[in-house]
Amino acid sequence: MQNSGNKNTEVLSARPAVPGIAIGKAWILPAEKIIIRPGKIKPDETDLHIAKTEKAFKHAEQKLRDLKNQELSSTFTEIAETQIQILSDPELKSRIKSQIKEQNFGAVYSVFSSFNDYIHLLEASGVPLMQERSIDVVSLRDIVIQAIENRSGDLSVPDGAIVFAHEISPTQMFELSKFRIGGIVLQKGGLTSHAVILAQSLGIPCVVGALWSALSVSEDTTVAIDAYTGEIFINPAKESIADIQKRIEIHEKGVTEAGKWVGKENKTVCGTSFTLRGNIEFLEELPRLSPNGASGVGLLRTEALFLKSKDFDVNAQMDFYGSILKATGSDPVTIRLFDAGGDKLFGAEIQEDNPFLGWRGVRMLLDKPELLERQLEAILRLSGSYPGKIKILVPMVSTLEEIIRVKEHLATVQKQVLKDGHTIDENIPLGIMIEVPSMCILANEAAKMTDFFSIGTNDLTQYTLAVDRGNERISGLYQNDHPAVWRLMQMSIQAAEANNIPVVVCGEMAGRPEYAAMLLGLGVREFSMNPTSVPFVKSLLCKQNINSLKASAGKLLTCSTSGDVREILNTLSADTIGR
Amino acid sequence: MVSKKVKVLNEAGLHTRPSSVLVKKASQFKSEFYIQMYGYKVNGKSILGVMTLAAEEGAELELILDGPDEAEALAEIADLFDNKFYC
Repeated sequence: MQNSGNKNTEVLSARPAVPGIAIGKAWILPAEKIIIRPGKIKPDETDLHIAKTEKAFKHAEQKLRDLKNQELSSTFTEIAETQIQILSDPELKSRIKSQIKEQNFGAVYSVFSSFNDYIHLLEASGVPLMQERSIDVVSLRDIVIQAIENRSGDLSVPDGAIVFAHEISPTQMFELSKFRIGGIVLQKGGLTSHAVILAQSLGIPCVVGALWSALSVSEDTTVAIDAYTGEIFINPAKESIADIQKRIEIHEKGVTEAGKWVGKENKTVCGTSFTLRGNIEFLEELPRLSPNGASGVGLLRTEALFLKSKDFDVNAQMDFYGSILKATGSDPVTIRLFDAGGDKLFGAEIQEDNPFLGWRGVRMLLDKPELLERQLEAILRLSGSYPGKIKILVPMVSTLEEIIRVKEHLATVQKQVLKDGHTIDENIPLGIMIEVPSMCILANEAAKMTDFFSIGTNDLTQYTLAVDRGNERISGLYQNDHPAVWRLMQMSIQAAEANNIPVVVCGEMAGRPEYAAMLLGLGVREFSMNPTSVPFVKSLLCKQNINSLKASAGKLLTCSTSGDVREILNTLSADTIGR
Repeated sequence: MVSKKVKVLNEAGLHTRPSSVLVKKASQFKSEFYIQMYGYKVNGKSILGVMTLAAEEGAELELILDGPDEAEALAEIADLFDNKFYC
């Protein structure tokens, strides 16, 4: 495939992180590596080197203030503030001074080794949180050294370039955000890494988990990425370039077309109303809600909050939820209780053979009631200031007993919070995720015990079909259009209707226009999705007639294969392209 | 010189944000400020020093202050620990 010649076309597959399509020249992010030797200076040069260091500290501080003032992200602002504080650390400064004055090392080496003493201590601390933070101290060290050496260290990326990187540190991402980047290809970096979140807020197409090699990608290589499919084309042939340009054209047309619908009412042609909300996890995503026409937050993920600090501290949670409640005005916010595997919080000793079938979501929370109650306490204490605005969503429910037990904890916390003298909203709706098939089958009973359903289509598909989404060997079996998945959804929707509780769809299906339309036909009136998908979904739903959707949905429920389901869905997507 | 034993109460320990709050508070006072933990002693006005303590929840620290405003400083800094660094 690829050996010596670098003109060979290569197609790699990666995980889509931020949707979009781009074509351009590759630009490779240089690895941050500096080699420094312990050079000695003459005793009469020490004052000069001390002055140099002081100047570099001032320069670094200015640079960080400039970056901070761009206010692109609260996480970054926090990092930059700490870095600025480190620059005035008296111990660090005196350590550097004594290296220069007493040991006669040059400014660069003195800075390097003094910072390193701390970096090594942080790395050796055995406390994961501090080990992670050492990257901020490393990047600060390098900023200071660049300033001493009078190297700007500033990156310069040509317009429209596709950035290839192993991973991107928050500081680098901020540097990069100054340029008009066409796309980002990351080897590492999860969907929730800071680089991805920022790419999302800047609308830069991005894929992660791409095993690109420096052998086949260099600075002037033409590359294209389709961050819908996750494809990366290296040295694409003429025909594929034409194909990609066509994809870009269709995509851009779609964006313009969808954008026209943002301000319009959420109503089908025949006047059936529906509601579209956003799924979010970070404060940085808040500004994307209303410009896309999302009314409030239909799914607030709380994992990042805890994985970042591994801290269920009530005050920290109140800060986070409070910012989101404040920013969303009168629109509702559905807070999903912590939904991750135990290994994420309690370390590797809880590694499980089948984490997706294991100790996660409500199962873990019920075993660690202090965590559950702290989360409920934070929510309840805020609820008094935002009556009628908050909903609580319980993840990974597979038995009715779990609902009863969560309610007991809620009652306990309610009593305590009232006793402590806080005003609360005593009628916060409590809903469950419908993502395990057992809850679809027991939907009628579950509906009597809860205030709403939220269908998580990704997990429901994975658990219904016994297909691990992450397992490449069987990825073909992960089919959103499997008739069994649709029939299970219909069972839950019917049970919700019969018991007069609302049902929301918040998985990937909600964000795919033709799927959302079909769900509308099945009776769903509320959808929550990635905010950038809202205009696309809206533009299709607004053009529909509820009776014909009902008819299609009825037909879909009689399908026996994914192919048949897909065919019916295609009649709707053909609709979108035709306009 | 005054000193007092305190305990880290916040679940995530003395991570970056609390360290930052602690050092900012300590720097408002003239007194010298040291933190001792299991025989390891750092300057409490040095954020890197405090971070390298990597004190986790439940860790016991001794706050040592020496200077003209030592009593007031000790009281305010100990309060920070009690309030889990939310001021």
